[in-house]
Amino acid sequence: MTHPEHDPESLLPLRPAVFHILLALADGERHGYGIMQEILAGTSGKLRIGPGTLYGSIKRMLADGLIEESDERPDPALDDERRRYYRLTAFGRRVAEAEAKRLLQVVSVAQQKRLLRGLEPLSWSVER
Amino acid sequence: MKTPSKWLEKISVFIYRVLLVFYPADFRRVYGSQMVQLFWDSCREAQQHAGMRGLISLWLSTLYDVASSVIVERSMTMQRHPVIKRLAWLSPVLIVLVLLSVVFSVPRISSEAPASGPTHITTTTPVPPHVDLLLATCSQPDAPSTIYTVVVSIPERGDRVGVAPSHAVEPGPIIHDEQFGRLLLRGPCYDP
Repeated sequence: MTHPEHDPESLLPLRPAVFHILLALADGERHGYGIMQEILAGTSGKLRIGPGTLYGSIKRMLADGLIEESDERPDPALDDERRRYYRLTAFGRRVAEAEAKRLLQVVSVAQQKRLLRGLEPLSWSVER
Repeated sequence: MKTPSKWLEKISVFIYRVLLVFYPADFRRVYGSQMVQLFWDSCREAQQHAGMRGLISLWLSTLYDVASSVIVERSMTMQRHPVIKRLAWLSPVLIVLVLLSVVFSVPRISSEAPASGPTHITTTTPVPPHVDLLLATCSQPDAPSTIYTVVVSIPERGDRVGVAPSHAVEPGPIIHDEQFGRLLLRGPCYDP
């Protein structure tokens, strides 16, 4: 189910679990355990999403048209056919992009206020 | 990498399956088997990496996950429940009823002032010279549980005794309010 009539901004800000699931699916379809592993790797092991939170989020993301279930299996010989794979929809990708931009703006403000030590501000100039 | 214990895995998965009964039936039917599969994979991985310590850590995070997600799924199921949906229109009605009860309770409280009103207050409390307004709470002899606030002036200074619009207040001790030059006291009411 897709929602092309929806404005991606209307779903922002996303809950952290939802955004991380979108990020995990941004480069290809994955099953639940694959999503969890990708989130763990992407956050240096700091964010572990349990089965309840993961599938609760997946249920709502399916309803919002952010992701869809994939019918394809990478290789049935290598994979358990009971696993379900999920992938981003075009709308889900737009929502992920909009959330990433929103967070970038937040980080930009934090940088300007020198809250991120060791990182250069986004805009700077060099005088000679 | 440690060798995972099969029986620990099986016991853990069995307990996790039991915990799934707390989720709404619809949710369990669609996602239950996937959740068990995911937990099983996590068990294996946790044991391989950190043995028993990893499994305990996984269980702690899983228990938190079950508790929090059960609350979310249950509340969402309740919102979709036909009875709750049918009663949803009641919420604005309830708000209006609460507002109306607040509006109508003010005159009702005011009307609880005694018809004749306390007209004289007897007190032996000395009134400091700078006090120009005396507030007293009192009750009528026939209704001692109802306390009224009255404003009286000071007879020694030739002022009249008056009754303010009263409202119910909690009985309390005599309070000297130096800042506002008031003396609050409590005593019986007498008709002249």
